[in-house]
Amino acid sequence: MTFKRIFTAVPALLLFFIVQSSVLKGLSLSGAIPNLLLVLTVGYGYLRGETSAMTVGFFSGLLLDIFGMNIIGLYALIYLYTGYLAGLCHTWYEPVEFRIPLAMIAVAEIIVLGLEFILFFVLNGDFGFAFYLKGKALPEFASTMLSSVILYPALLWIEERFVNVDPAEKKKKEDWNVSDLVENSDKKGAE
Amino acid sequence: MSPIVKQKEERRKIPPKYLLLLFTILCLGLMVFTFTGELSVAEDAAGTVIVPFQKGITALGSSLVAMVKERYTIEELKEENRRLSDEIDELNRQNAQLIQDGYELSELRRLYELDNSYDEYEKTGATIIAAGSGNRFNSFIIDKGRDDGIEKDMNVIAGSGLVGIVADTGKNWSRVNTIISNGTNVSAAVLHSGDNIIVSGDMELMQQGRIRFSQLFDKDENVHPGDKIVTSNISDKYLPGILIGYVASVDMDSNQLTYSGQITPVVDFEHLGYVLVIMEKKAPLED
Repeated sequence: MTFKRIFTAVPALLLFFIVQSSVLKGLSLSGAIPNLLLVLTVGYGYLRGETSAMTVGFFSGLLLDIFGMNIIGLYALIYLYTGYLAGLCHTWYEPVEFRIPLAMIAVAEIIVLGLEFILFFVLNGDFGFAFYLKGKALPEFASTMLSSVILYPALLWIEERFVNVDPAEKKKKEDWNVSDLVENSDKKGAE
Repeated sequence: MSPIVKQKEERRKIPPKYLLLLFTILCLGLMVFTFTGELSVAEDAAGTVIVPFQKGITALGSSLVAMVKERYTIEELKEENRRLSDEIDELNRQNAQLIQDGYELSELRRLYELDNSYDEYEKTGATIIAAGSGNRFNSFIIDKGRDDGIEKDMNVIAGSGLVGIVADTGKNWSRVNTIISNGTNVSAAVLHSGDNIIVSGDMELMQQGRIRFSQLFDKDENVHPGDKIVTSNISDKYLPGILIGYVASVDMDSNQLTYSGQITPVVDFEHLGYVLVIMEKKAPLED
């Protein structure tokens, strides 16, 4: 179980980081880049709970710090707490529910963008909020949400297909999801 | 619907709250540590894993771009060829003239003992493999690091203009902070008058391809749009005489004493792919 989680999380983390930093950045130095690592952190918070999300968040932030910041640990701290808070919502987890995780990603993105504005703009003596909103925050928010619509289902699919096949976990899922048993019972019947 | 089941399961592991505390302390520790000392172990470890992938992806991206570019039609190429041959003739003429001037220049430089133009610094080429991950920082990662002799505070140029400075080095990668990023200040000078100014990166202006300058004391008002801006002698990190850009506009500040304005950088920051790192650092000031 734990092994499977790590085995899926590490490649996902590396892949998302590399795509975010190399592929998408190549398109433009100043344009809006979707915050894929945030999608991953919050997504795992909803799918797996605090522990996984915190770990993933911490290492996501650490990568961002190492490759982009003068102070190492700042993004790690932000993503760590994002992961923790997202992980608290794991109790609502239902495989068929898409609105909750997408809303969570939206909220997290807004919080992170707000923090970035305060940390990197206001503390540098730059109060151009209108510019920040128009030039950076809105495009980034839009692109993050767009990518999360594609990536969250992908994460969910991997999770349901390869990770959550543990019997105990399956039982837990059955306990929780009374309403959406149609799909699950089909699966059970097949096995 | 039983959170109780979950609690039983979770009880066997480390409680998330303790893990959170542990990670928080780790983060704060890292922050303090980066303020005080080097953190090269973590950077090297991350670089070893990530950089090869970034290199591969950058190469893939470049080859895709090359493939797209190959789709020029033959007609276009013929047309271009004709135009280029004309250009070569023109350039040959100019080149002859320039060689002549070059001899004259080196002769004069020797006479004035001013042979410290940055053409003569030892440089090494590096490919940009990723842009800095902090979304709002205009920094990027190049594919050379400590093993190639790159050190912190080395100047980075592209073509003939200043790009930025090495902010951080790993084993096989380095991070370059550009002069257009928010909060970067470069001590510069107007080439023809020698007036010292401060060039500051500004994200808002960067969208228009400009950077800001300020603190120009120009009593005689002899700085005009089009004047060359170079790094100044008094800068403590930048080598003197590297071209930054051309004055785009000059405005008087509200204090009626100093001028500020905008500069058009010579480097096209939107389409950087290959940069040169000057392997020489400005010697620190000594007593």
